[in-house]
Amino acid sequence: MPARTVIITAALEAGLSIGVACGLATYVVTFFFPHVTGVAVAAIVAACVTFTVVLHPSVRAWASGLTALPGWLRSSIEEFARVRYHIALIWFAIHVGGCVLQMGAFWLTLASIGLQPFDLDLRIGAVIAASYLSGLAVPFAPAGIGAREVFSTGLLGFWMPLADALEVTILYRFVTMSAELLTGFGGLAVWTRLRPDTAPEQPATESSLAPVAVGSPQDG
Amino acid sequence: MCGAIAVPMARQTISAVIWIGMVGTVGHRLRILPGLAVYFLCGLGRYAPGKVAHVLGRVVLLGP
Repeated sequence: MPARTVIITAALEAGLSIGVACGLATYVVTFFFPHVTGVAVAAIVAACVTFTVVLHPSVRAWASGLTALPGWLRSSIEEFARVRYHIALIWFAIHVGGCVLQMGAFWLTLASIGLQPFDLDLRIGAVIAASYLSGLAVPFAPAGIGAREVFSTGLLGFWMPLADALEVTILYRFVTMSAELLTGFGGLAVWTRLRPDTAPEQPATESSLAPVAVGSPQDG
Repeated sequence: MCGAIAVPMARQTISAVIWIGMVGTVGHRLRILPGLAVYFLCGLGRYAPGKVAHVLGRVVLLGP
């Protein structure tokens, strides 16, 4: 598969994650100004609407026609413009669903040590999203280590003693890291097993790792 | 705690499926199992400094 395709899909994925996180992180403002909750919710809704508009084919087609953009970026947007609108919206919706799952994981982490300062609501999402974005903003920090912890400890410090906030933060890092290590090594095991040169007993059609070009004869 | 670990794993699986879908819609189709394996394996790249190691991992594993 061309590196360009991998990079474009990674950029799409990152764009969706960052966009959803930015929308959710706006709720952080309610930590400091509790009376503006309505405004924060409105900002999240506005972010969702913006995303829905940005993903619209006509907007993507317009962006790909902007001559001021560098050629590589224009052609990347053209490639993205081929994605159907409802597919792009489904990606967006699933990313939002993923955020809800992440909130659930954080809430379970809190519950596991007997701390439930708030119900499963947007404040948890705001803590996670804001700390995720802070981790992204720090260059060369592996998986945002350090930055995320400082940010989420600081935010959680509004509800609980700092020692508890630190404990939850470290536990949550352990939870996410464990999940990534488990899936990562699981992926390594599957990859090693599927590699054609290490699994000669498997039929080539089942074990081939080469991507199948759309429209190729292999599609049947 | 196990439940808390299982939830991000489920989230990653969902993200992996989205990524496989993205790759498919921009012109290449990955089979589900190798696709999941590449996504999960390269997820470890996030723990390398520089933030893009997971993308480089995908380039290397899926390269021509």
